[in-house]
Formats: sequence, structure tokens, C-alpha cells
Amino acid sequence: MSFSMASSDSKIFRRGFLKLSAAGVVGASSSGWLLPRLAYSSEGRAERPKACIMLHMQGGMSQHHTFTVPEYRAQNEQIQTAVAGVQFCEYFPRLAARMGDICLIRGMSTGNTVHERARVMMHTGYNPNGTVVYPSVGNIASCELGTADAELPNFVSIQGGNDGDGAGAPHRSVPAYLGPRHATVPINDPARGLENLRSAIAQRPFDDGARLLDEFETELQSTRPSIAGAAHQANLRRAVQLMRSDKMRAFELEREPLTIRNAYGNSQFGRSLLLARRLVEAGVPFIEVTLAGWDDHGGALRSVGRRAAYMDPAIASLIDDLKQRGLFDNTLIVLMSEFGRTPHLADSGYNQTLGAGHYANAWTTFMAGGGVRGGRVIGRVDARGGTVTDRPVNVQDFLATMCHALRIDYRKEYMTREGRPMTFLTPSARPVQEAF
Amino acid sequence: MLRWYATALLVVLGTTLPASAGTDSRLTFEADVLPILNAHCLQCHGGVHQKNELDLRTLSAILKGGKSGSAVLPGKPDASLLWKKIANDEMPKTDNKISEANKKLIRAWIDGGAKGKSKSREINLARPAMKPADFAKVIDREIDAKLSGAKVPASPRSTDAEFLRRVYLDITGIPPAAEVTKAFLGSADAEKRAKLIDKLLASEEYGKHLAERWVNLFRQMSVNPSEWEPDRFQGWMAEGFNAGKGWDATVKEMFAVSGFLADKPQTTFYYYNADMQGKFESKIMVGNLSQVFLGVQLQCAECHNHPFSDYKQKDFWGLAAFFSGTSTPNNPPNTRAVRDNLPKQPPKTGTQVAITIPKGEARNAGTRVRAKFLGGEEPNLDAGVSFRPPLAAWLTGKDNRLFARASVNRLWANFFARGFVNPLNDFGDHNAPSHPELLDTLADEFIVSGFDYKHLIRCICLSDAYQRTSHVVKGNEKTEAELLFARMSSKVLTPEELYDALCVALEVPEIAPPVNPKKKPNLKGPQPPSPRSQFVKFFRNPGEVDEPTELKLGVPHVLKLMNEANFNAGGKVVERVMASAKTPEETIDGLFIAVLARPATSAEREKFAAFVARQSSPREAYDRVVWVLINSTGFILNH
Repeated sequence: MSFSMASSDSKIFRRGFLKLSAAGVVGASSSGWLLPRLAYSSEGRAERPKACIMLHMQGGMSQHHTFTVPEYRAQNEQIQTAVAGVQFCEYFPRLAARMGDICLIRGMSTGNTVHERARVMMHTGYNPNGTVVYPSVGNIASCELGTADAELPNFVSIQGGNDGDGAGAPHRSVPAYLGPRHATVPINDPARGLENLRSAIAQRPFDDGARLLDEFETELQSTRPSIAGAAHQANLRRAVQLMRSDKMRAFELEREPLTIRNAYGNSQFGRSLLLARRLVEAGVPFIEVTLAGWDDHGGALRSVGRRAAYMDPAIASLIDDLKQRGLFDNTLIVLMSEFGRTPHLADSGYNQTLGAGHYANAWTTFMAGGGVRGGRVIGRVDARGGTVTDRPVNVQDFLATMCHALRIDYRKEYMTREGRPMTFLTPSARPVQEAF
Repeated sequence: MLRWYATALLVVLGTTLPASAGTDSRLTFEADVLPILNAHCLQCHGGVHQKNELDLRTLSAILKGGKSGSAVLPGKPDASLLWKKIANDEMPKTDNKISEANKKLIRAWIDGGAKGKSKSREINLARPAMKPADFAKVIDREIDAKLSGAKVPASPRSTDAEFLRRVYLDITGIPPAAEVTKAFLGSADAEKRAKLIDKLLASEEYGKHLAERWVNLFRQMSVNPSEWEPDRFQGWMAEGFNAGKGWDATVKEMFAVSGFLADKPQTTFYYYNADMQGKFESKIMVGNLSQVFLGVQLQCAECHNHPFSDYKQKDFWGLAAFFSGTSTPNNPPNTRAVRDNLPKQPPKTGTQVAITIPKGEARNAGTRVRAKFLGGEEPNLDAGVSFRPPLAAWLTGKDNRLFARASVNRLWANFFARGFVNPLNDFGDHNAPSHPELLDTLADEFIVSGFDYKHLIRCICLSDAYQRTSHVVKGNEKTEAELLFARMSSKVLTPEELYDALCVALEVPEIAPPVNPKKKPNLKGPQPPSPRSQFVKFFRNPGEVDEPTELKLGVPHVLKLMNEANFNAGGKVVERVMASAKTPEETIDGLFIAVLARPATSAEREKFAAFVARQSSPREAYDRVVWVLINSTGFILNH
């Protein structure tokens, strides 16, 4: 998985590979454990590598009840945002106040309304075709932005809660031709963090056992060298390093001041965003937070209102918090879904209530931070919100925009094991330039 | 001008490559030259692009040449365009230039007459199957010949303990329990290895394990994440293996099946070839069937001609046409079935069945392609009955060498970590087998034995090659020695094998996942999956195919094995061993035998005893010992 050792790296093994000396833990003073942040802020922001927090609204987020309220038969009031002429749904007052930091894409036009397929497409850029397996943008970011020997994983997926019908199993990104070390590391509950980080036994006997394992392994690998064996030893070493690393504190939300925790809110989604910020701070380049439950066939009006109650403060706090820490310009926040929901096309029948059905021809996503220009609205829809009248954005261009912000070359060639050259996106992909 | 250029080129060549560059008439296009062209040239002169109308994939196409004429004049390297272009690195135009050694080889091949491989091997399928011990000798003769040719020394025979754990894991998927190990190591019977192989092949676990491997492969290749309750399908296949049913018959029944899941467990196979919504798709089926049962990458030809081999888009759709009317009703489980939508009015016999290339990413959308066996004929099909039985008969027929070769290559890899052709699903002239004769001999033996895996496994396990130690000797340390089977390769346990091995080691019937105290148990709803499937789900990354040489575990998995209470409490094994052993050394030996299926070496015994002596509580000390052993490479891998 994501932070396993490169399998070809068989020379890594050496005596004492578990590095159990207490020296590794020194310097973990409670105040300054996040060394990277201090270092970066003193050297200037440009030095800090890019990171991304992708908020995946699984099930199909209604644009009509969030950020693109239609003129025709809207179910909600609109509220003025910080940017003149731009309105949000009344459910999102805090985000409306931060529209100056947000780049809204109103012309998403992706053409796929089947949950699983659309989900794969929004993550990989391709409609699943059953023959070639494609990596997700998170796997690509792990490969291009991650550090090979990082203690923390390079791609973390946090389950940010399920509030309604998520319509199927959660999406799992597959590293495909990038190899297993760019797989995602799942966090099922942000409050619990990475599972099994603490030993079931006390530190002293753990250390004694680890030291014995260390000596035992040293002998094994010298007479029976194997790539898989070296990879296992690398995993052992990294697991122990992680257990002793001050970086594992990134998973300990209780270290955060109460004011900050309160600002993100007492919800799984809020805790997930707080964890995401802590992970960015600790150097993780890509974090995906999935909020499932958006498949509102029974109508989106009430359910979105319920979700907005915790989403609005959580996302707004994330923006504020990143800004306050000087991380905003290097951290791209993306809010996306697999598709949007139906406008009033006809006036009766099942799935004809505003937002009840699946709709991929005109829907809304947004980006913020990471060098993306705030206060922008890209694309326009008609009065019903059913047709893009200006600047449609397809999946490839959407992902190219993310890559552009993250400084990832989406045309770089990778080789599959069968020797087929692959690029993340097709040659026709173009970033949405207006976002920068 | 052109003449001047050619002359200048010759002068340059004369200085860079002396006349001693050599002639070698033993070099063949397929074995020696094509791999080089594949690495450097076929991107532009292959199936996808044929710049200047030049196709370098086959010898005949090279001799025919492109716009500028024949690329090779046999015996005349200096007059051959291919040589002229590569000699001074005019080609390839990328930075991926051909090395001087490889250039020399290509020149020597042209000089030697630009030969292709001879196709004279005689196949006699009328002979009976050989005795396993005799066929094991055939295997060793081929392996040893390659080793001595490459001057790589073979490692010696494995110890009994090494062999025991290996053969148990390879045949049954479960390592031996402590008492089995003690009995086997204590036996003085000279025939004990052969007898053990027979015993394991006669056990129920043999069929179960092989079936689990195959069904796992289908599941892992599936684009649909559903598991489709594989137990009945797996049980059906296992029964066949245990009864000695031929693999051809099993596969034929899988492909030809029509009817409901309730009567035909193999219908599940079609669901593993469904799209993400659970709908059967002929093109997914063809992509999987070609890789798994024919060993070729035909899926590339769905959208375009194959870049590195001769397969055409119509070969892909020609196979897809056999599935053109096939469908699988989705959910609920009791309605699962495979059926064909056939015309109500049976048309005239002898109708050509065809499929239309659908719109999408594929080139030539809208073209009709007739049903055609890969590399074979366009059969006359009766449009009133399913087209799948004729396909199944062709696929598994004795004449279809691709099926037999792909099947034995996969089986070999189950035992040796790698096949003769790697990746296992990439046969072709561009990817020559390491032991072509042995591959063919095994395929022949498989066919004449009635496609009997049990027979082939018996032969393989009796061979010296299989019974070698995995320890290196001087001269075979490198990975290349493993490709020649100079020593046994270490194989990564599959998640299922790892779970079963943990149960055996800890001497517990199951390893239940820790209970989250905050969560109330749900007594009404559907019961959680078994501890084994929960473990497997955690340890297998979705969308990945098991590969014995590649460890796919990462830090989250290692953290679980290191830190979960289940693996820190010593299990039942510590109690049992402590109760019977008299000294710390005996206890340590007992734990080694239970967990690693071998006694400790004297150095290990000493080191571990010293460790135990340093700890305050013996029980906790032995818990630590078990923890060390189950987290060690020796446990995670099958040596």
C-alpha cells in the first residue's frame, strides 16, 4: 500500500533496521512538533510543495440546493456572497462570506449519470471500460508530489460520514500502473485515526521484542535474499518509525485547541476536515474526504439543509485555518461529486422534484486555495439550471485544472507492466485557464 | 547526394564496428531480435503506428518492408535499411537508443541470413501420460540443461522442514500443524516426500485451494466490485479438481453454461465478467478470457490493432461475437442465470453470426465482425442455439495450444513464483518463454493426461527443481538465477493463506477482529462476514491481482500484525508448548515448529533463550517469541 517500500529497493536492509533507539523520539516537544511548517514559513511559501484536500460528495450533490440556485422555481432563498452578483443557497452563509477565496465552476458537463461509473470517471478521467484500469488523481498525486521515504502515507482517504443514501459501495481508488505503494490508506473514523498505531502491549516489552525481531530478520535475509522479503522488512521498519514518529500526532485530534475543534464542528465531517488539515501540515500531499449520502431521490431540500448545518462551518473553518497557518496558497481544496441533480425539466412525475434525479449535463464544483483565483465564477447555466450556456467543463479538463494547480504533469508517460505507455489524462485535456 | 551519404555511412560503420562483429546463423528473429525491436522500435513501427508503412513485428513484414523497400536483405547487413538506420542512431528518434551490443547482435543476425525460428517440433498426442517420477526427470533435464548452459549453479535439495511447509502451502494453502511437522521430521521413510505429495493431493484442501486461487483471479480481474457469493462456484470447481476432472471439461462447462445459478453454480463465472452495474459484457469477457485462458493481451485489440503482436481488432470482436446474445439478469440472487437472446423464428442454418463494433473509444465503430476463433476459422453457427458451446469446445480443444500452454504456465507459477512466460498473460513472439521446450512438453503432458492438474502437480512436486532449497549458493544470488529456477523463489502468502497460517500458528480455530466497544452489536440485521473474509478484505487491496513475487502489503497491514491484541497474546500455542516442554530451549523449539514448521537452529535457540531469561514473566516472554516469529519474513513468505 501507499507507503510500502519500493519493491526493487532490496539494498535498504541493514543491521539495526528497526532503529529502536530512543533518540528518534527526541525533539518531540509539544509546542513545535510540526517542524515543516516552521521551516517553510521561514523560507517562504514557494518552497512548500503543493497539497490537495478533495471533498467528495458521494451520491450526486444537488447544485440547486448548494451553490447554483436556479432562477426558475427554486426551493430555497438565495443569499448574497462576498462577491457582487454571486449568490449561494441560503444554507451556506459562512461559505458565502468566503466566496472571495472560491472559484466556482458552474458548467460541469460530464455526461455520465450512473453512480459507480461516474464516480470512477470523476476520479480517473475515464469511463471504466473493463479492460484498462486507471489510477485516480490521488494516486497520481501520491506518485508525483509524495516523498518516497515519508513516514506518513502519501494518499489518505478519510470517511467523512454517511448522511443519507450513498448509492453503492464507497469509491476506492486503485493505483493501477503506478504500483501498490501509491495505493490509498483508508481512515474509517477520523477520531480514531490510523488503526493499530499503538501496540496492544507496553512499550518496554514491545521494544524488547522488536529488537529480537530485528536480529532474527538480519540473519534470514542474508541467506535467503528476496525482493518481497526486503519489502516486508522495509514495511516493518516504517511501521515502527511511524509508531515512534512525532508525525503520528497528526492523527491525534485531541491535541488541537478546543476553539479550533469547535470551529470545525462536532461532526464526523468536521473532524475529517480537521484531520485533513493536520495531515497537510505534516506533509501528506493528497487527502480525500468522502461525505456519502447525497443520492436524494426523495428530494434534496431537507437533506441538504441538514448536511449544510455541519458542512458550511467545517469547510469555512478549513479555509480560515489554512489561511491563518500560511498553508492556503499551497493547498488546493476541491469540492466535487459524481454528478449533479435534475432541474425542473417536466413538472410532474418521479424524479421530477427539483434535485431528485441524477443529472450530469450542468452541475457545480468548486476549488479554493492552491493558487486558484478566488472570487471567480466560471460558466453559466440557464434559468432552469439544466443547460450550460457558457463555458462547459468536462471531466478531463476538470482534472487537468487540478493537476495544473498542483503542478502535476498530466501528460507524463508511465509504463504498464505489459509495456503500454500511459498518461494520466488524454492529449485533449486542457486546464481551465480562467481559474488561475 | 544519397549515394554520398550511404558511402559516408559505411565509412563511419567501418570505424565503429570492426569486421569481427560476427556472423551467427543460430540467432533467430523471434528469440533474439524481436525483443530488441519491441523495446525500441515497435512504438512507431508496430500495430498502432506504422510510420513510413513499415511494420517490424514479424519477419515477413520486415522482409516486405515499408515505403522505402525491404528493411532487411538477408546476409547483407550493410545494404539493409534496418541496419543503416540503427547503426548511427538515426533510429529510434527518441532517446531510447539501441545499445552497441544489441546493434552487434542485429547485424550478426542479418549477416547469418536473417533466420526465423524453425517450426519443426513434433507433437505426439497419441501417447499415454508418463509416470510422474519419469516426467519429473524430463522437467529436471530441461531445467538443468539451461542452468549448465548459463553456468549458474543449482542450490542443493531442501531440508525436510523446508519442503514440508512449502508443499503444504502450495498444494493445500495451509501450513502444517505442529504434530504433522514433528511426525514428518521424525520419519526415516526414504519415500516420505512422494507419499506426502500423494496424501496432500488426495485431501479435500487440494481442490479447495486451487479453486480458491482460480476464482480469486476471476474476481480480481472483474471490474465489478461485487463478490457474487463465490462459495458455490468455488465448491463446484473444487469438487471437479478433487475428483480428477479435466481442466478442459471444467472450463468448457463454465463457458457453455445456460440456466439458473440454483442448478448451475458456474453461472457465477459470467457475473465476474460483468460491467460495474452487474450487466454481462461480451467485450469484458473477451478481454479476460484471452488473458486468463489463452495467455494473450487481446484486450488491446478492442480499440486498435495490437501494438506489439499480430492481433487485429477483428480478432477481438470475432471472439466477442460468440457472446453477442448473452445476458445475465441482475439481483436478487435467486434469479441469477446465464441466457442467450435468440431469435424466436430460427433462421436458416449456416447463418454467419456477427457483432457490430459499438460506438465509443474503439476505432472502426459500426463495422460488423463475424464470429471467428482466434487464429482459426469463422465457423458456421446455428443462429437458433447458443453460440457459446462451439466456442467452449474450440477454446478447450486439444488443438488449441494457447489454452494448454497458458494453463500450464499459470500452474507452474503457482509452484515456482514465476512462469516461463511473464507476465503470465502476455504470450507472444515479442515475449519469448524462458524454457520454450519445457513449456511445450508440459503442455503436451497436460493434454495427454486429460488436462489433469493433479497429474501435473505430482510431476512438478517430485522434480529436483521444485525440491531445491531457497537458500543461495555462490553464483546464484541474483534474481536472474530465479528465472532459471536455480533455487526456489520465495512466494508471498496470499491473504487467505496468511489467515490460515496464523490460525495454525496460534492454534486457534479463528481470529476474530477486535470489537469496537462503542458500537452496539446489531443482532437483527445481516450478520457480519466471517473473520476470515474480513481479514482477507483488509489484507487485499481492491483492484489488484495476487502476484507471488510482489509483496502488496503495506504499513497499515504490518501495523495490524504487530499491534493488534490477537497477535500479541500468544494464542493457544504458548499454553500448550509451555505445559509440555521441560526447558526454555525445548519451549523455543516447540514454538518454532508450531509457527515456522521447523526447529530453531542452535544459534537461534541460544539467542531466544537469552531473551526469555532477560524477561520477568516467562509467559509474556514466550508471547513475545510468537510475536517475533509471526512478524518475520520467514512467516510472511513461503520459501
